Amino acid sequence: MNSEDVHALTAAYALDALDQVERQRYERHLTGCAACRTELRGFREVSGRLATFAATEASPALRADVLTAVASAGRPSATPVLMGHLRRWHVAAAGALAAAAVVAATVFGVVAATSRDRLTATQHEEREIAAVLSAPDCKILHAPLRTGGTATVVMSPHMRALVVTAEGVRPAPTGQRYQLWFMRATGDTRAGTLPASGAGPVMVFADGAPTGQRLGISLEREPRPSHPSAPMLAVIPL
Amino acid sequence: MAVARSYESPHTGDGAALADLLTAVGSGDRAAFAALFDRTAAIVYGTVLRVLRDPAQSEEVAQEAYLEVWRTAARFDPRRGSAVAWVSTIAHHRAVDRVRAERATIERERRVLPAAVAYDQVVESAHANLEHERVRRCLSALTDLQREAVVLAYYGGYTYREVAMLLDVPTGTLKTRMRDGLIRLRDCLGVGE
Repeated sequence: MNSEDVHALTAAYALDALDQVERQRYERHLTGCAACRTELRGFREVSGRLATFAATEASPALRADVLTAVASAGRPSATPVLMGHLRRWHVAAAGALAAAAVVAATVFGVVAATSRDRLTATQHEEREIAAVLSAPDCKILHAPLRTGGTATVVMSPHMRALVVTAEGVRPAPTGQRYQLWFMRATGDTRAGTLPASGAGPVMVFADGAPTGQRLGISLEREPRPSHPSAPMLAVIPL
Repeated sequence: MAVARSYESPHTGDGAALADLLTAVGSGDRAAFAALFDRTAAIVYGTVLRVLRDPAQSEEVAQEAYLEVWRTAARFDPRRGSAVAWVSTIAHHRAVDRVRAERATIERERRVLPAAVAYDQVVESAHANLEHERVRRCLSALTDLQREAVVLAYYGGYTYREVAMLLDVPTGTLKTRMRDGLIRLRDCLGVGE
């Protein structure tokens, strides 16, 4: 099948009129053909009208069955799909970084990253940060630090992950770092550190559901202790 | 909610509201899901029923479709299509998969080519309202071959090669007519780009 033939399959695809093999071939083609994606969008709306044309009342039992089934289903999640989309569409590292920076700017109200403040996270980290920022169950929390500035936490309980960032915080003095802590009834555990500049998003993974715990921030001397030795500058209930 | 409501067109004015509902479903909003169900169930069930012909099986597949809607709603992007297109695509695809699996069994056992879906059957039972009239009018403006190609594929669940066989035309010709048919429907209905 030459490439011209593949374009001509858009209509059949929109009508679900391709067999398994041709369907897969067409879907691979679609990822690289903007013209087909555009045509498919229009054709799918036509299919939607054809579906409406066939509208027929179902029995009341269907409603009860569907709502019951959904009640016991887990929550919808965009996370794996976000990762999948990023992989499939081959987003360049710069693209993913830009996307994360844009979301960060929106969510945190942080001025768009300049080269000086550029994140140094790896490509994998960038995607993970973007995933938390766009998780459907994400919660945003703010707290002022006692020494000035504000910490912002974006949390996805489902992902058991947080993204922490701080704004207006003075850089940590030499030999000291801003340490994050998970504070539980059973004790406090280290949860990562903010970058030396004090700014920039940090990805934190929780061991278990983070809801119900508190996130603490303290300024600790190197080598950083395994328990807080300095006063908490902020404590954020998650 | 009165039963008649499920026949109201979700395409005029309501389209944006339906997209909002589906977006809310993506955030896990179960009330939004119930509202979305109420407004799309007849479309989903009716489409599946056209393809499968059996009411009990159709309810089964409709339920599976709605579960998939629940699981994947977070992917819905209103800039890339309507909520009805999204939901009906999921339902139609499932119905087609099911009917083809069945046909494979039947044909193996009986070696009989399944009966084609007549356009008349679809038109007669279509609920009469403005939106349906529009689709009916646009379908009747197609050439016979364009209309049969689209109707057999969509409501019959046949692949384009099977449709070509049923209509006794070369597959190349059939592919072109199918595309011509969708282009004309798209322009007549005023949807898409």
